[in-house]
Amino acid sequence: MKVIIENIKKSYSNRFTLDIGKLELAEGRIYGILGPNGSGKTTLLRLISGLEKPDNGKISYGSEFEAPSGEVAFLLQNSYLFDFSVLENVLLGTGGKSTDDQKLAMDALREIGMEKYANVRASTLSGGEAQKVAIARTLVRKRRLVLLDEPTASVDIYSMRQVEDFIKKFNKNHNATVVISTHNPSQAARIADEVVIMWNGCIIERGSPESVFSSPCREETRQFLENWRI
Amino acid sequence: MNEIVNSFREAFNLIFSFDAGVYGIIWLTLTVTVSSTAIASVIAVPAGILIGSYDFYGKRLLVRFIHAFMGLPPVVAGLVVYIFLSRNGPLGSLGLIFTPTAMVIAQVIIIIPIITGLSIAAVRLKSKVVKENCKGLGLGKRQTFRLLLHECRYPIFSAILTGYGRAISEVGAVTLVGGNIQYHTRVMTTTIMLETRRGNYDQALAIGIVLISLSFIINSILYRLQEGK
Ligand SMILES: Nc1ncnc2c1ncn2[C@@H]1O[C@H](COP(=O)(O)OP(=O)(O)OP(=O)(O)O)[C@@H](O)[C@H]1O
Ligand SMILES: [Mg+2]
Repeated sequence: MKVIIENIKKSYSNRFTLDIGKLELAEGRIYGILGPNGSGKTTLLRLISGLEKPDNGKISYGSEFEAPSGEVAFLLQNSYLFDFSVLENVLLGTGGKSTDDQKLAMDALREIGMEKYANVRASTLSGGEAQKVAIARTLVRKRRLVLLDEPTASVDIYSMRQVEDFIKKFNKNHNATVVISTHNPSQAARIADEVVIMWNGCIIERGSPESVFSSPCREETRQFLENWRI
Repeated sequence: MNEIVNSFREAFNLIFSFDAGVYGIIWLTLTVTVSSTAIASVIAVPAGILIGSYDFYGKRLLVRFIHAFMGLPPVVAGLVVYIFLSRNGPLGSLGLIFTPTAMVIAQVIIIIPIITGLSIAAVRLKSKVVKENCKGLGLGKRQTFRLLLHECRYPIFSAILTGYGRAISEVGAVTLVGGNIQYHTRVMTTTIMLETRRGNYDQALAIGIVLISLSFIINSILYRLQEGK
């Protein structure tokens, strides 16, 4: 799904203002949002998801101005598993309980190596395990727009690759637009078609990972990437 | 001191030699309190969840009112119900005064604010994260409500138990609107009052012991049910 963000402003009292002139997200591409803590990544994703309303400006989704709820999935930074089994949690993402849904759910769990936990109570999982289940729940069925807020922040390196492969596969299979916020430039380099650098509520730079990372045009981007190796 | 010990001994003896009248009183107590708790819960739990998880104009004032009514003296609730249901009252023609129905109505009024207020508190902390995660999955309002109820079921359950405790221990309102009529509206608390006044301490104490045991048994049963779920 194509998303166009135009002249969006969102303020939290005097503390913070997100201010974005224009941002177009093309269908079927993966976008990596990078930026330091408090730069507005979560705020941007919440606005796109419809969880937050902008003070000014508009966001269009294809031909509509409301995020079509069944076609968008948003993995929150503070994702939450319900007090059911792992499988039942993932089934909440499919929207049904038929055998087809069960199969979809098990497939999603397999992608992130959690299939043997299907019947485990979600409340007994470790932080990273729970996060992986939340990812599976978000990606369990076709969506045209997926927003992932730091999906792998608590996930180990091996699982991180599994999750990234899952995201790429999902993007390919469903031609979905995917927006991921991350602190990890390597991750953005691995999966994003395009990176968007945020700073103090503004987008200061965007482009292919190769060009932005090898020759950033902004001093702030250079500063943000300074301590990043490999 | 000796007298107290004797009273207790006598009370325990009485428990095993209750006549049909006493069983009638116990049965009426149970039906009245269970009915009023069930009716109040059906109204108060959804109301509490909705009030606790949505922002709307006047919410703070409403919550303050509910909190004030949580401490409503039962006898005042009884008085209001009495005025409405008494022969000359606006609803007098229904002929409900001095019936078990009137007692249920009074108890429902007493415990609705309690269950609502405690349900609001129960969902307050979790409502935001649950609602946002539901929205993130594109779930509808109904399912979001169901999941919120599920996630907050333990504190909501204890809200209902608190309401039940209020209903079964209440005496002022049921005396007023029920009239403590033998074989008709006499319940355990009003029996205790009556027997104590007559000087039948053993009888009063015996009923008191049964009342406490019943409370305990019902709480245990409900806890079981909750854990089984
Ligand atoms: N509900 C809110 N009320 C007030 N201020 C807020 C609120 N939400 C976010 N902020 C502020 O807005 C700024 C941007 O927050 P945001 O969550 O978008 O940052 P972020 O880029 O996602 O950071 P992080 O990398 O830590 O997740 C922060 O300074 C934050 O304190
Ligand atoms: Mg964030």
